[in-house]
Amino acid sequence: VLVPLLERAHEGGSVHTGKVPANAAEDERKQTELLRLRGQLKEAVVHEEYERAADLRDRIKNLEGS
Amino acid sequence: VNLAELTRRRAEWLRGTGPMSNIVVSSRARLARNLAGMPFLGRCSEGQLREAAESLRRTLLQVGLPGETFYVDIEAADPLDRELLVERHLISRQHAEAKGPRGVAVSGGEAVAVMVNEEDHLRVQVLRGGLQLDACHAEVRRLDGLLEGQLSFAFSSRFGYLTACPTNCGTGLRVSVMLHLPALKMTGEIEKALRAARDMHLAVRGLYGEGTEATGDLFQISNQTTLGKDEEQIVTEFKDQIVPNIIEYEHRAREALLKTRRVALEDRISRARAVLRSARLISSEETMFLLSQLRLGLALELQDGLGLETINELSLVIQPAHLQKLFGRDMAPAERGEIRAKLIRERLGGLAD
Repeated sequence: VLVPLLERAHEGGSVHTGKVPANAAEDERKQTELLRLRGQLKEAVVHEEYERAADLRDRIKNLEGS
Repeated sequence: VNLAELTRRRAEWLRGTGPMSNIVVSSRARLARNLAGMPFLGRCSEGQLREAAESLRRTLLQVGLPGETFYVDIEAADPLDRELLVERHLISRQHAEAKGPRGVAVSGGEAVAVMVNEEDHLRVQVLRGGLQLDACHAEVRRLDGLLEGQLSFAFSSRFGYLTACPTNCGTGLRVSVMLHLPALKMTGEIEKALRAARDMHLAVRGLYGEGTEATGDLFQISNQTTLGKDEEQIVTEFKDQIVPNIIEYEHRAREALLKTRRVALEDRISRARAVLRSARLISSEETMFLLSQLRLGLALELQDGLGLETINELSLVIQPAHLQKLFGRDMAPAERGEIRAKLIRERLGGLAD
């Protein structure tokens, strides 16, 4: 859905060709993992599974810090 | 820091010593960056916003930004302080008027400003006087590297650096120049020039960025495309093709005016000087309009005894928040008009006719 919009905004460009973060591959993996864990944390809170939530929170903190 | 201090300081770009400073007031490069694993601001809870602002504040204060660094909590700052930062081009108007946990780190004698929780988690800006796009870009890139050593940014190999608005994704890089274009305005060619700029995928804005009017014949021009070109390409096209063209148009318009309407030009400049030196009440809009004539007079060597630095500084200190900070109290517009006129008379007192 986004691609035509991007192409219109960027003179037809829709693929990044610029700078890549030094630790890109590592980062992308970590980002996906963080998104997954945050999702689970939300769910755990909704279901009042506090022990699991605490564990998830620690794992998120760890991953953010690394 | 006491922000009132800022009114007495001179940011580097104010000195008016950079290349092409007879037309290019300042150059700027900015990067949009977002934290990996944290939602974009619009989707953050209050708690997450606070968490992001706090951790970014800590990072910015110890990452080693150049020179003395201070951080302003914009949410807690009073409205006058926020306005002062807008006038100094350290934060956007949107950032001043928004709500929620947010801030700005300022360093390097105001050459560097990093907004926290504006539209993206981070907006890193480098501002310099005159045409110095390469220097701005080199510095913003260096700062990006420093920050990347401590933070991980949202990035996709397809779409590049991810940003809240898709118009910024990819490199997240915007370069811009603040141009003084009085001759194009006088000859009526400005609309044509700006239309051409827009056709070349450039954004044209006023003195204080998005959604502001051009006052004092000052126009901000920036690239719109951030995806599909690399950083070098963006900077090179902008500084080698686009900016020199507009400078050339303005030069030609100035030459033409000198040749065909010299007396009319001299008349405008000396009237502007006379009003500035004798007004008893004056608004900031009128001051900016008249200072524009003096700035042009200076560039065309029709005005002596005055430096670009004085004009740059005056354009800043006559703004509402600066005036009130400078005199240490709140003033209604009418009183500001009086104080402003007095300040201008003092600063331009020794000016030759």
